[in-house]
Amino acid sequence: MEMKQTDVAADVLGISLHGRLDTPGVDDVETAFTDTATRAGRHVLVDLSDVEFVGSMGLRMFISVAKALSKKKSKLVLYGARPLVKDVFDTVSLGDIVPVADDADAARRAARG
Amino acid sequence: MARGDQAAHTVLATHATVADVIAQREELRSYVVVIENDEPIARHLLDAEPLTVGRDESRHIVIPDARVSRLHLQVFAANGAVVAEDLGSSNGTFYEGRRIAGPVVLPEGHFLQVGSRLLKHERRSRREVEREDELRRDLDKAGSYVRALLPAPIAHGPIRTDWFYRPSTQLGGDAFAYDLLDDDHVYACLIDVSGHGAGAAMHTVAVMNVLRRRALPDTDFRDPAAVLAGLNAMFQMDDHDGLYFTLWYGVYCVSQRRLSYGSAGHHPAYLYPPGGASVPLRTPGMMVGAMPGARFKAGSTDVPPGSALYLFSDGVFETTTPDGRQCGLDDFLPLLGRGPEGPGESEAIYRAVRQGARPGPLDDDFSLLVVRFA
Repeated sequence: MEMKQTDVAADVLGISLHGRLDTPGVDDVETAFTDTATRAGRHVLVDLSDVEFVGSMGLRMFISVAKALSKKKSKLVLYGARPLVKDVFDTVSLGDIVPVADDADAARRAARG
Repeated sequence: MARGDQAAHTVLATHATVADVIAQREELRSYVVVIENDEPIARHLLDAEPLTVGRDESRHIVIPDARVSRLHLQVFAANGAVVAEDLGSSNGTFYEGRRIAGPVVLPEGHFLQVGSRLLKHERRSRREVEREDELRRDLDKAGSYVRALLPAPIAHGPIRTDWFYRPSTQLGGDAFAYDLLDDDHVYACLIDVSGHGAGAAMHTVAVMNVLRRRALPDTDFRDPAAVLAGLNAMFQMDDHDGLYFTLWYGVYCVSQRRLSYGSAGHHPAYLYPPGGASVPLRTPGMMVGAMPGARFKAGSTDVPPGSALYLFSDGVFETTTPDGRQCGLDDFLPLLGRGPEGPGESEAIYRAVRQGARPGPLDDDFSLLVVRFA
């Protein structure tokens, strides 16, 4: 599992994840992801287009970070999920806690809206 | 002191420093792990001497399987690699689905198939092996405890059940239950706690005990939405080390032939009426423990005589094929409703899933409950 970050705007940080968010994958990135996202001081958009699987620990990571950002009046927004990953998000109603957008533009609007 | 005197009084001694000992324990070594029914049952260190494998008791790795020759193959280290060589066995040794002819390199993490067993090449330090063995013992105890909570299959009566449960090597958080609520109502549920290991198992046990003892205050256990809301209030993830769980909970009214159900972040259960199309049973709702005050809904459906309900965890369909493709629910559904009905149906479905997945243990717990309604 790999993680990259980009400065999207003054109020938005972009993070892209690559690989599988199963238990070992989450172990690889959780500390860096959580640290980067919660210290950003701005909204965080996560590109999942290169993530082939998200398991329960991945969901937990997203929920935890979303809650932490919410306390700082910022949002975590996920976008670009592949169909199987999107199915998982729909099954657990993740969108009720963490906004899930189709693409980067929709994610930006969801963060600022 | 003269040289001769020095020789007469020379004392040879080895003095291992702490650093030496630490280095020895950290050095990676190759092991061959024997896997039976998805469970690692033995680990053999590969050192200078080749490991022989066969049915004969004199081999380093003994496989009591009629399909295995008395001396079947050997595994040895050569030029930094681990090599497997079939020694003219009758039924062959298989690597990546093909019978090997001649020595083949077995990379780390890869498997050989010999009869009913898998042999896996692992690289571990001594310290890792010791820690894994200790963890394995703890997980086995936790797994035994969870298994002890599972209800016995029901072979006779208006409701019959058959189930198959195979925890992953990391012990996930699956469990299920069913029981009478009163003379006219039966409940069935399946829970999947996030993560793996003893922590997830402990959380599973806590939730299952609340359900088994009806220990939710002011809650009608015949109302799935109320049960989900009660569990959500009791098990918020912020109070339980970040753990949440998904749950499917259903209540069958025998006299009305009506099934009420609710799901929290869980994929559907599937009802198969005789001769009819399957009906997915699911209600919208997030997983339990994710958010205080979350709302849950209940649905209901009639249950024609002879119907079957399939309730399962995501470990049954989130598998990986031998060529690395991630499977999903749509890959699993065709295995349901084909019978044969009765004891062993759920295990037969497990075997079909196992056959379609890559070698080695499944990634997550496999839990499948089949309920048949007379």
